[in-house]
Amino acid sequence: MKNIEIKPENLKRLIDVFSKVGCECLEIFFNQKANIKSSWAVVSSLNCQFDFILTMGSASHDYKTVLAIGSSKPSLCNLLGQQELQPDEVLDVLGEFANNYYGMLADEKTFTNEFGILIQSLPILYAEGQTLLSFIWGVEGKIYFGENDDSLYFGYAIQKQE
Amino acid sequence: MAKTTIIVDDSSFLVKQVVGFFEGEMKYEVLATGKDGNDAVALYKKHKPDLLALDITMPNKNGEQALEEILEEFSDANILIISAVRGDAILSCMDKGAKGYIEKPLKFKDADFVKDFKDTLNEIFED
Repeated sequence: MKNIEIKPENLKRLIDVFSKVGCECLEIFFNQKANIKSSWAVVSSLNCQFDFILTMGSASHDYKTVLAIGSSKPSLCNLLGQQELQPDEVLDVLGEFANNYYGMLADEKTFTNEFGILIQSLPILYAEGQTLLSFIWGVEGKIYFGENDDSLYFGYAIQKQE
Repeated sequence: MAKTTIIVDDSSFLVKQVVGFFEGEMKYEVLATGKDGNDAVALYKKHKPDLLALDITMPNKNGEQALEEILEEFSDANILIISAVRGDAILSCMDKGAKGYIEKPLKFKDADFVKDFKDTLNEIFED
């Protein structure tokens, strides 16, 4: 059987790229100052359980990925400046945010030198869920914003095409 | 007389931003907005705007398919691609007749980005 696992060291080299793009994307998209408080990590499977999880795939001939953006309801309310959130609204905003993240990642030469350009798909929202991405290596971490220690979780899992 | 435009993107959040730019900054008249390629084709046929601003990745029918369909019937349509997709997908749309493209994220607070956007629009209408 063909080995479709990514080598963790390939992802480790790109940790700073994933987090830097996350910060920049949040700042541009939501017009909020963003920062990283703790190092992102390479993980053998994403650990993602939040009130809202948005996932979006991307693929090329060589690789397929899933990006997961997770958030607690209070953090997301603060990010969007709203008291309440409807799932279709969360899907719309986080989906477009994830779309932009993929685009900005593809602008990073260190990323495309390793993985090339992948084309993103449509977003899917899980409310009060958990990602179903076991046994796929990825990078995960949080981007912080606002005055209340609010954060968005980013998880990026990637695998070679079979 | 103000130029007319239709904006099609599956994100309402983004459509609102783009409408704001075209109406506020460019003083265009936004005739309609849509959410997928089927909307793009139907709205273009109905309104025949000066410009169609079109996303690529959308449900039901994507932007590239809509672009092909519109240009088959209206070969002089001015279609501007606005997308986060990179690489061959953009080139494919340009090869098929899109008149310009703008890469997301849309940095409307960045003066250089706004200038580039305006320059792209000027080039479309100069051709």
